[in-house]
Amino acid sequence: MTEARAADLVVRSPASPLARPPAHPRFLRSAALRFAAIYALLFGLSALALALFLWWETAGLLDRETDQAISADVQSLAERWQEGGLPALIVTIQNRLAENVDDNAIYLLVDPALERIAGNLAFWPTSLPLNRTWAELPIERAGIRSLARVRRYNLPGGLHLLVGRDVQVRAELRDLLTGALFWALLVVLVLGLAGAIVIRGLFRRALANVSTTAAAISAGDLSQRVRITGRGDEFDRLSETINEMLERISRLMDGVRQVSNAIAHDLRTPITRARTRLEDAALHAQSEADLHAAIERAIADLDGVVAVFQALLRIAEIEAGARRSAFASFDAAPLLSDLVDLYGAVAEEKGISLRLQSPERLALFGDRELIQQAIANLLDNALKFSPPGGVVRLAAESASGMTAITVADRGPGIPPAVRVRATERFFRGEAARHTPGAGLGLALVQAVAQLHAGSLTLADNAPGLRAVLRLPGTAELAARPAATAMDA
Amino acid sequence: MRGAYRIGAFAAAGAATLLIELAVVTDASGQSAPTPLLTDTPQYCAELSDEVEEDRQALVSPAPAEIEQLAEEGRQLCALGQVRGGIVRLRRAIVLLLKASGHS
Repeated sequence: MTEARAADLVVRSPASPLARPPAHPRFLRSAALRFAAIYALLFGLSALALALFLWWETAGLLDRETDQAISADVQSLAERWQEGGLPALIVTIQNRLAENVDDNAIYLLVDPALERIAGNLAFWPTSLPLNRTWAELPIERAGIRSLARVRRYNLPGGLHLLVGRDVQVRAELRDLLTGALFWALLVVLVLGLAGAIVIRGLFRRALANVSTTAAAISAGDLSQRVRITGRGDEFDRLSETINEMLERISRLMDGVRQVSNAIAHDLRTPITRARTRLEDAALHAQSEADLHAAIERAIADLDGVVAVFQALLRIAEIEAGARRSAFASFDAAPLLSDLVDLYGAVAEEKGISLRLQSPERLALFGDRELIQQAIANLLDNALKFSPPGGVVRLAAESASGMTAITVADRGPGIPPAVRVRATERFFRGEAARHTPGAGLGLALVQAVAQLHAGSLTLADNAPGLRAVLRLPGTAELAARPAATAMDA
Repeated sequence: MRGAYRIGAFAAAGAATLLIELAVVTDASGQSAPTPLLTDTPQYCAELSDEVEEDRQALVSPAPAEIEQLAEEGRQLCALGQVRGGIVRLRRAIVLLLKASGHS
């Protein structure tokens, strides 16, 4: 197999999670078409419901009224039969025919042999099955074909009674109504389809905006944003959300780019310095002792590089939340005392007064080692930037289940304009240009705060910087979403 | 989409109902031989005319002019071959005679 062929196979691999299964034809995968179809369906359904209602209230009503009149007539004749027998029934039928001003009544009384006894039908209709109660029959009136709605009723003695009404006019009206409803439904169908096409076009146009932007971003142009129409509708809200997401992605990518640049920039100097020292020693060393000294200095430079990478990895590990399994409740008061003892010597050496103000017990829930590292970073910064004779205060207090640990110094502080960037990796303020460090200390503190669902606040100490690390005292509070804050 | 399919099923059921109604209309005017009606004939016209006369004579007082006019028009229409029109007038005359004689 050639390399090109192999590459082709890799590209077309169906194992890719982005591969779409060809479950339906292409046109069925169109959301616009689905929405249009649903619109047409609902439109058609509404029209059909209206047509059925009109039918029920017009032709249906006439049918029901006719059937009720026939049933009442049958009931009345049955009562006459019970009261006066066959003669009374015959007279009643004759009278009703004689008084039938509407000229629509139909009666037929036959014996068991279906021979006519009374009524105005010439004979028992051959098309009427004996097992049917209701039927519509063709009749002939003075040579003209007409339609009758009849009900069959069996009397004792094998007699059969047929009572009905001429419904030709009603049938013609029903035909007229049926035709009108049919054409109306046809018009509705055409309108529904036209509306569906319009809906499909509107939907596609609304999505085209998002689609075009997504395609441009996919092609590498991260500056593109979804156009907002200003109507404030659902599509506008979707566009705003997408734009916010793009802004965040853009910021994150800028951050990645910045960190990459910072790594390249900050590590080039110690690596170059180590190389120069080794080269200089190789060329100019007079003795074995000179060589050893140069190698040790180079090792020290490279240790600094390794330390930066370790710090970066540690921050990444903290941000990934991998350390959450080590969370536990502990008393932070001894931890603060230990840190003051540890940094007390450094402070004393620089002529700085390091003061601790903490309650006897200080409940915290989290990773003890990380919290210690975070407070140590804050103390390290405070001592680094405090002038000789200054004061660094480490204070702690608990309220509402949260513990605030404050480190305040009297150094140059951080200008408000750049304070928001102070927790970015490799950020170094003007005051820190000439001090040792890689600009990762506050980034680590920030990562620890977020891991514990706490916050890091940097504020003006007038003069100096006041860093407040708020951490949860209980497991419940540690489960909340993380927050950050920067006071102006 | 399942909801849309359900709505579609309802729509189909509605359409089927309407089509059945239309089929009933078509079927109702079926092609079988029609049964003649006996009350659209000159003979029945003559029967009604005789009944009008009997009812009129049974009245104690003379029949109102409206009844006389309806009966006369009915007879004339029947004689002219307009049987259904004549029968309707004679039936009206009978109904009015019944009212005049006190029957409901």
